[in-house]
Amino acid sequence: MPSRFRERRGLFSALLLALSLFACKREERNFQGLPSGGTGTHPRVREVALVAGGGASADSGPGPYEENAYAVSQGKTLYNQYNCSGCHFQGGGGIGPPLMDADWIYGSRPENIYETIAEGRPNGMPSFDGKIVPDQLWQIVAYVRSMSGLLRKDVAPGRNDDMQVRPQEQSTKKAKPMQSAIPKSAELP
Amino acid sequence: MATAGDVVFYGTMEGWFKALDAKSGKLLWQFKTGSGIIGQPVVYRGPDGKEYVAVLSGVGGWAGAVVAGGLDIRDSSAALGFVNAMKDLPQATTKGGMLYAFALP
Repeated sequence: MPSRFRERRGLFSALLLALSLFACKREERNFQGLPSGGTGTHPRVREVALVAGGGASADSGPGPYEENAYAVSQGKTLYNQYNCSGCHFQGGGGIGPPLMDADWIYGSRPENIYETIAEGRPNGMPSFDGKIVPDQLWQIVAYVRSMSGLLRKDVAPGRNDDMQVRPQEQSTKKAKPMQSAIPKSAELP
Repeated sequence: MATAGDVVFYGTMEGWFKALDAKSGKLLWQFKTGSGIIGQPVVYRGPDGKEYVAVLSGVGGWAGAVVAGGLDIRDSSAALGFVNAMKDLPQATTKGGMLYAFALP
């Protein structure tokens, strides 16, 4: 009997070791930044979204931080520190459009959002190019996508550091992104 | 806005533009405009000599931002908290920005 118990305990600790080795990827901290980080260049931003044959371009996949809970919560902190909340509040919008709904004027893909923040958009969105390093900017991109439930539930932030003013990103219902019409005033001449 | 003929005009957040009898308060006439009315009606005499009443229909400002900007009511801090205060406004009215002018009979 005691030997069997020992055997079980051995199995249990082996399982625990395996879990601790593989289950914490979403909490991984990247202290080096992105390979292209810190240079001030845009890693993946194109000038135009035109693709041969029209329609949506091929999905370029998730941004670099969309599987990492630590980076997304860093993005949430930066979202407030860089005063994104000054216009977009906690995602409900105000002077700027809401970020927690399905409507995306300039696209919902990570590189669309990166370009919107880096280059700015007409009617008020300023350019943050050179003011936020690309590494942190990608963290904000991941957080912005979590606001409408586009990230995995175990990656999206589950709590706020201050008073709760909106449902946690973790429990936000996923909003299927729609492209809304670009306002006339924002069209290029 | 009151006229010399004892008619009072006003608009509601739901978009009704109403004319009341200034003495009795009886509803004389109403018209449903496309959006909520915050603006004040004006009365003027047209070049044709007729009397007209005009009113702007459309909500805006911080209080109307939840409708005008299509904001998300799940964030109670949105638009400085005005979204939380006015979260039932989207059920009452829609986006506007129209000028209505009516000729008085």
